[in-house]
Amino acid sequence: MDVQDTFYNKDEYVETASGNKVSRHTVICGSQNIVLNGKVIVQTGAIIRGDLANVKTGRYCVIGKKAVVRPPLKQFSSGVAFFPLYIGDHVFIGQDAVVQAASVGSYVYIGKDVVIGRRSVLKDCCIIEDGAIVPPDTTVASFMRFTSAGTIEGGQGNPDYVPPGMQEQMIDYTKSYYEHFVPIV
Amino acid sequence: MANIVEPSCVNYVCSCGYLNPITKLYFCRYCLKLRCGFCVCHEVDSHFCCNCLENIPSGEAKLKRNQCNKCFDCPSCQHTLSSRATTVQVPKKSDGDGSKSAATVDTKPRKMYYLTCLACRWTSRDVGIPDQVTATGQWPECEYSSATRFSMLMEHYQNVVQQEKQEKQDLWRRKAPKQHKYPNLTDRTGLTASMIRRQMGLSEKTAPKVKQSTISPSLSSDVVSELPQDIFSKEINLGNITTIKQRLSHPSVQPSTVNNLYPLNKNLSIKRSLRCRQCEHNIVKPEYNPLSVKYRIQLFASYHVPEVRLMKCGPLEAGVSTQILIKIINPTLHEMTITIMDLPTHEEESLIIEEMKKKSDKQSLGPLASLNSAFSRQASLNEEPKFVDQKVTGTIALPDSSFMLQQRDDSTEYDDDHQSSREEPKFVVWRRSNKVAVELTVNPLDCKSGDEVIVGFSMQYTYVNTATSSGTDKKEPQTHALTSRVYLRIGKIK
Amino acid sequence: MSDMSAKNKLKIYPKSVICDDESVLIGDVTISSGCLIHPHATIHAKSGPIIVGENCLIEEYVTIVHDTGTVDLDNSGPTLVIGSNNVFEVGCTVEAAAIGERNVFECKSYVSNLVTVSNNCVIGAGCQLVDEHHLPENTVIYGKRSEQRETIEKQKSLSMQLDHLRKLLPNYHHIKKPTFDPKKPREIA
Repeated sequence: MDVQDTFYNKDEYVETASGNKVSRHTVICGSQNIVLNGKVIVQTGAIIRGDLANVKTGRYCVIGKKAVVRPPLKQFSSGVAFFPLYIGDHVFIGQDAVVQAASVGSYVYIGKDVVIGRRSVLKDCCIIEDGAIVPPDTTVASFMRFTSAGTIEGGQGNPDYVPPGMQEQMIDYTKSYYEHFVPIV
Repeated sequence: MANIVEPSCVNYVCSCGYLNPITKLYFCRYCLKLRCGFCVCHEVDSHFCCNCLENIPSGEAKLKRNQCNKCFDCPSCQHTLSSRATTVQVPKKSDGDGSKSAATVDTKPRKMYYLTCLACRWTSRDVGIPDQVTATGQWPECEYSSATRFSMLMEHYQNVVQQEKQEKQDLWRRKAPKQHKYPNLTDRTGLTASMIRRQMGLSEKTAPKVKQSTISPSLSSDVVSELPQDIFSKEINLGNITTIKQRLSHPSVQPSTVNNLYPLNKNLSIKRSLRCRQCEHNIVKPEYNPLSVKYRIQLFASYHVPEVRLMKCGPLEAGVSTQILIKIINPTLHEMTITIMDLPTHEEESLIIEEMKKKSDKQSLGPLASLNSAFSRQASLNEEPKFVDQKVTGTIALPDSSFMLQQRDDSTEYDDDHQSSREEPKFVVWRRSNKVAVELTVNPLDCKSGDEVIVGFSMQYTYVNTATSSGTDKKEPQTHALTSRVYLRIGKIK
Repeated sequence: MSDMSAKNKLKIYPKSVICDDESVLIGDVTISSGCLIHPHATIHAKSGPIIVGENCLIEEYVTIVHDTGTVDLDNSGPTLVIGSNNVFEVGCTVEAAAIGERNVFECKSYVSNLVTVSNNCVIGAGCQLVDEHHLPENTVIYGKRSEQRETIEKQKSLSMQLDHLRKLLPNYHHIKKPTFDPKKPREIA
């Protein structure tokens, strides 16, 4: 099925000059430390913790309902620090997901109810299945699929786990999602 | 996109007869056919470690038994281990007069590393592996009792293989003297490479005959040691016993208790290149760099074949016709003419299969399949074309004419809408650059409520081939009329 | 009216940091000193009072419910005492009947009211503990099938993280004021 219209309440969402659509019913802490690079959708109940460290997303990202985007903590022998969290372009974060990665590449699909452990690194073009738990410090390489069973499968050229044209597919999907994210009239 | 998380509702028929979403299909520009994962040869392109993302040349990978020697998996839960630093107080090296410092033990902090799993909190300290000085320390390899036996067997069978290969080669040499296109010097003078070598006083190239190493075969024994007395009475602590998964993840040791779990070297991952089985052209070839998501060759179907998407479907009721809206996208840089036709009947389909079989037979008997191809590479087996294993449960009222589809033009995205004043057929609902929405009428056949309605059609489209077909010197692009069969699962009857 | 009385029951000791945006504390809840509560947390004392021990860390979308199956109407319900130095990570739901010290409830874990948790345990991310169960000390629950093992590793000290957050969060959030001063034990209601 092609991407269907997602309706939103016009009073609930704020649209910025760069085309970001952000729900008012979100907790966006430390907004001065958050950069949403344009055409980003932040849906109801999402939390972005810019107060802990910088958060930067690329263009055409979707942050689903009640998702928590949180810079990761690293404990040193001398103290603790929150690392900045960078998210690339065309990233979809499903609802109820918790993202505490150090970086998320571009064209990444994160399913719903996913937990991305602290300081994990998600490279470009990877898929995290719905309900998957990615332990802290994990690297998910490009064209890998982190399954809900906890295994990492795939690899570039393997058609069974991540579609070979993941990049184009994610661009198309996030763009259509944005175009089909329309106010109720 | 939907097929990342859910099965796609639009499926194409691959040349082998299997149904696949367009995202899983490839398009061979040389055969002008759709290819699925079964119709292509999968080859290992490069090895890399999916944790440290280091490219490992295939020779080295073989030497390291396809494992990364820096990254480890947790023996308890199979996640990746990470190394953790701790500071421990180590006694300072006594400088000269050891007697003094011995009295007042001077210590200095030093960083030591151990491995820990952040999923199940297993640590290398659990099994008593000493901490290491460096983060990627020389973690001790786990020893296992049958190691020598295995290496002996390995050596023996390697010798056997080598010997057999040599014998086979000798046989071929005698049977079929090499026939080159042009006779070279040695052919004319009757000198062979081995004769020259002998004359020059070098040893025979064909290596000294492989020694037949002998190994003692394993013997079965009747003597089995007694079970311990308390085997049935002793209470066992399940926490100390390994699971089947833990045992099988370390096949050479298969530890039975948790205190024998050792870190496992991470297995390497591969990038694959795919090759059409019929024409042996590369269809997909990724970049070597493990971080790159680019391809050197990428013949995905979604770049060449018009993509059909289901946009909307009216209410489905048994015996009542309904409207569906499909979007067709032209991904190529050339205009397309698209005709929607009925699916082939059973007879027509068998004709198509017949023809395809003939073609592939002809190709496999071609000049390439010479005698020594048996040496060079295993002949690839073609996936046999089959009938499509999918019944349609509805009919489509076909549009009465074909229609044009503009080429893809990325710049139109930024342009204002410019409407073409072209006369549109009635079934075209709207048209935007390379996309067109088409309305079709679907009539569900005898369906019960809850049944899924599946319809299908053949889509003929013009395809401009810009690939210079090998051999011919025609450089100008050729236009072909190609057909793809498309099946749509449009929904369930109410 | 009942809402008012519930609010009055909330006791917050000094030196604790509770972000006031959208966090919900219902019923007789006591937050001991040194605790840190991120936004959007829910603590619901349904069947009796909850006392959260010192230096606990409670993150976003955490739900802690004291539920024995009854609703405490006459202030006679049993008290749930949560030990000190516990961590409740993002999105976990904890209804445990008893919670000791230095436990970690990782992201999206669920612990039902039939479970008792002792000390130094880890309930892994996404693990579900539904049936009657007692977690002995140093237990780790991990993986899709909620497997159990014992760890020798001590939990890392929380103090540095708490210190850091205690300094950081008041710059960005409204902080609930302490309502209870142990130096003045008899406060006028």
